[in-house]
Amino acid sequence: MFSALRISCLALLGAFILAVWYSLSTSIDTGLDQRYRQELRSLQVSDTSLNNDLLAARAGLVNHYDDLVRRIATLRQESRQVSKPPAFISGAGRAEIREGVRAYERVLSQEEELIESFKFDHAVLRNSLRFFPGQALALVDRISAHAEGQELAARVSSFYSDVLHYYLFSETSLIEKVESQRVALTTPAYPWLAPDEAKAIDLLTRHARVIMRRKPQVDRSISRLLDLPSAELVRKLSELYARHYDSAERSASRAYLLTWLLALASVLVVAAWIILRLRRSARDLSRASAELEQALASLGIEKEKHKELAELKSRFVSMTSHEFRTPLSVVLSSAELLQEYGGRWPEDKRQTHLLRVQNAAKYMKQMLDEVLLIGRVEAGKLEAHPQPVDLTEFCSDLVDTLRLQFKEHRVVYSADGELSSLLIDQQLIMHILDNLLSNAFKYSGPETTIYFDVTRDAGDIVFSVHDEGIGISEQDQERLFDTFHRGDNVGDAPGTGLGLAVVKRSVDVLQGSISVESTLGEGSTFVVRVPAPSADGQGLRDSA
Amino acid sequence: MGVGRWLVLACALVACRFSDRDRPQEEVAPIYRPSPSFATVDNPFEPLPQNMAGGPATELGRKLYADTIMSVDGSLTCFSCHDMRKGGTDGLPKASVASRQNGQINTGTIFNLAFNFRFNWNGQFVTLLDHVNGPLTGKNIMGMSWSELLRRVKSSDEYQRLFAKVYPDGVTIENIRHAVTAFQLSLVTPNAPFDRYLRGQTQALDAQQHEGYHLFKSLGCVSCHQGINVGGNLFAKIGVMGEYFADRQREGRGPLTEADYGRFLVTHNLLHRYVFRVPSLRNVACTAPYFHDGSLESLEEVVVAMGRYQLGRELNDAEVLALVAFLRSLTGEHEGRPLCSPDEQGHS
Ligand code: HEC
Ligand code: HEC
Repeated sequence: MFSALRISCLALLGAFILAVWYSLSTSIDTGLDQRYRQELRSLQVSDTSLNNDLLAARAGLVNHYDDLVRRIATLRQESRQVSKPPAFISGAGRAEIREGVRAYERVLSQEEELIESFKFDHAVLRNSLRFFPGQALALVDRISAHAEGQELAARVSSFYSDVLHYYLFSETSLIEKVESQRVALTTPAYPWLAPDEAKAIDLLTRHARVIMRRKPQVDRSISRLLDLPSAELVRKLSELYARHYDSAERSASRAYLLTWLLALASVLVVAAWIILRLRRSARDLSRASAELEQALASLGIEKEKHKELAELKSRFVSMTSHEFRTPLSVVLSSAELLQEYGGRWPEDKRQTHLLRVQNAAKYMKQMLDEVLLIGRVEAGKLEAHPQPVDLTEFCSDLVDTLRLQFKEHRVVYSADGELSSLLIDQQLIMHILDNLLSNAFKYSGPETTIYFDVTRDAGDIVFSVHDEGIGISEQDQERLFDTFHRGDNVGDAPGTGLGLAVVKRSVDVLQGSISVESTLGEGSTFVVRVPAPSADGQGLRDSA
Repeated sequence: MGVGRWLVLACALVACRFSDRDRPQEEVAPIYRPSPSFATVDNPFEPLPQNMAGGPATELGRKLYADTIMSVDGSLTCFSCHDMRKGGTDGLPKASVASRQNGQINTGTIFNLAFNFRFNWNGQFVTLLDHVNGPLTGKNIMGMSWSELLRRVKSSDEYQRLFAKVYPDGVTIENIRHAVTAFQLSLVTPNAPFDRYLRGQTQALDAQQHEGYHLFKSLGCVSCHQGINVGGNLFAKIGVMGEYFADRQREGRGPLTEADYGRFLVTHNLLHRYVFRVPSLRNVACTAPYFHDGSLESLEEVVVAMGRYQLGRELNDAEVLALVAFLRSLTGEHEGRPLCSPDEQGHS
């Protein structure tokens, strides 16, 4: 998921950069736009000026051609400029504009050609016009001087006025008349004319012909020029540009929008990526800190355990040094006495001392067993191994054994309910009952009664041991099951301080419970409740 | 994670976009616009501008003009046929050089080209830039090819250096063309007596020239020879009022040749037969012989011919002399001195 995110990030970035590029390349350069519009405007102005020049030419106000020549050159230059529309116009638009410019240039070439013929016709026409009136009037004067010249003079003069009339008013009806007059004038029918006069008539008719021919040509050139759609083409060009400018603007703003959207998307994706990363690292951090805390906590527990262990050790050492000293000194003294006097002592006295050694050793062994047991419990190695047990028999055996040991006490033992076949860990029950019962014996005076009840309550077995002994102070009850803890009121009674600890651990292993009720000087009651399914059921089969 | 590379790419793309702007093209043939308009209804002329100094390209063009590398066999320079002391022409009826066959046509001047609207007698070229092709590749002229010229100019260290100084892209065909054109455009001959007269010095023309100027206008020469260059801005037929070519042949000045067809050779329009660019009459006294065919030696003959064939008149001697005197007032200055002394040329 992480790498997919990264790839899409990169893709977006790439798209964004392309969009920026696209948007830059489509973006409207207002400087270029202004320049191009200016170029279009000057083309339009020049084109209009050309038309004004032509109108002036038609009105006969043109006496040199530099203006026309420069105008055309300017138009060529300007149309060349206009054929390069700004780059932000789309390719198709530029092509269309260029096509428009080409159409305009074609018209411009036509104009140029027409202007060329106009210039020449106009020049020749003007020359003849300059020459014709003076020549005609002078001729009329000279011919009238001849006696027979009146008729010819009148014809020349009417010819003259008709030609000028035609020139000034373009009256086409005069064309034929002038032509026939001209033909008549050139036919040599006047022998009285001087040779130079005849030549002059000939020249006059030639110039008249020039006027009659060139005048309509000049007019035609000018009106064809004025009819050419150059102004319209320039206007169309402006419109074309305006249209393509609009669409360029639209696509530029689209590109702009696209760029912004992509930029936004990029920012969002990058932000999402960052947030995800942050959250991930926050989670990692909290996990790590939890682990750390745990580690710290477990370190604390370890420490606590360590402390306990150290305490345990020191208590063990002091206890053993104290507890083992008594039996050891018994063993030592009996062994010394036996060595010193054994040969001389009667048999029974020797036996007594040997017994004392034996008892002391037993005591020490029991203590060691208990310590080892506690050790196993602490290490979590004590496990329940339930087996079918006949509890009635087991308990009565136990009671019998204790009776032999503590002969001064009375024991009332009662068993109630179906106890003959239960699934239970015999060893653990043994630890529990042995300790509870021997404590009861140990901490109660002679001639007191110990009550030991075993009852069945639902799936549980309830053992109750009650004595009439020294009792346990409330203070001591709180730490009753701690290892090596012994009540303040135990006096010389031998004990390891491990017995009840062993009981408690065993009950725990059996998942049972233990409770105590006690009053100092009056006695104590321990009640142990442990689950014990009947061995006839499932449990028996399991263990088989 | 590659973002750097993306950024570099982006920058490159953007840079590309900004670098492909069109380079501004230097305008070689600026359209000359006179500041006060001198031309009026009765005065269709303008004086030449007094200051048309060229730039560094001009000097380069002058050097090319004077260099034999421009001709295929290394025998000619442009100045061979366009001698500055002969009014920018070769002084021959038709260009002909020892190594060339006889020329087809009279050599045109290289002065005041900036004010002509077309180039060559028949107006074949619209711009002077294009015109460079004509003499350079013309079989009877330089007989060169552009690629060969480019190779030659490129192989010269001196040209490499000079071009690099003027043009950022060094030696190219376009730049050679540009330099030659720049030089040609700089050849303007201001301060002719007639120009001084136009600027208000009435005594710049003597009485005969005044008379000639008056005739020039009243006879109608001005219909064709007008404007700033006293011609050079329209096409006209030679022989409007007479059979010029028939008469020429009859007078033994030569039969009709291909070059006589004039503008027809360019447009193939029958109406353009015998049509030529009306020549500029500036420095006309220095550029004999005259006409496209170089068939007339003296200005007097030319004026008579003009009167006869263009105006349909027989001019008398006084008129001719006055007109010729006026035409001499059109001689301008080059490098501070008259292009030719008043009585050096143009006489029969
Ligand atoms: C062999 C002689 C000859 C040489 C060399 C020569 N020219 Fe010319 N030049 C002519 C002739 C002939 C004309 C007239 C051509 C025409 O009008 O058809 C002419 C005309 C011109 C004109 C005037 C055109 C006009 O419209 O008035 C220019 C400019 C010109 N030449 C430039 C050059 C240049 C540049 C070179 C060198 C590359 C050059 N010439 C070399 C013979 C020559
Ligand atoms: C109808 C137009 C027209 C008129 C009017 C006209 N000319 Fe010309 N002129 C031309 C043409 C065209 C040429 C070139 C002829 C050729 O080269 O064949 C020319 C050439 C000339 C030349 C020779 C220039 C040269 O360099 O070869 C001179 C000088 C001249 N004209 C003077 C005059 C004078 C003076 C008048 C008036 C009497 C005049 N022109 C009237 C059209 C005209």
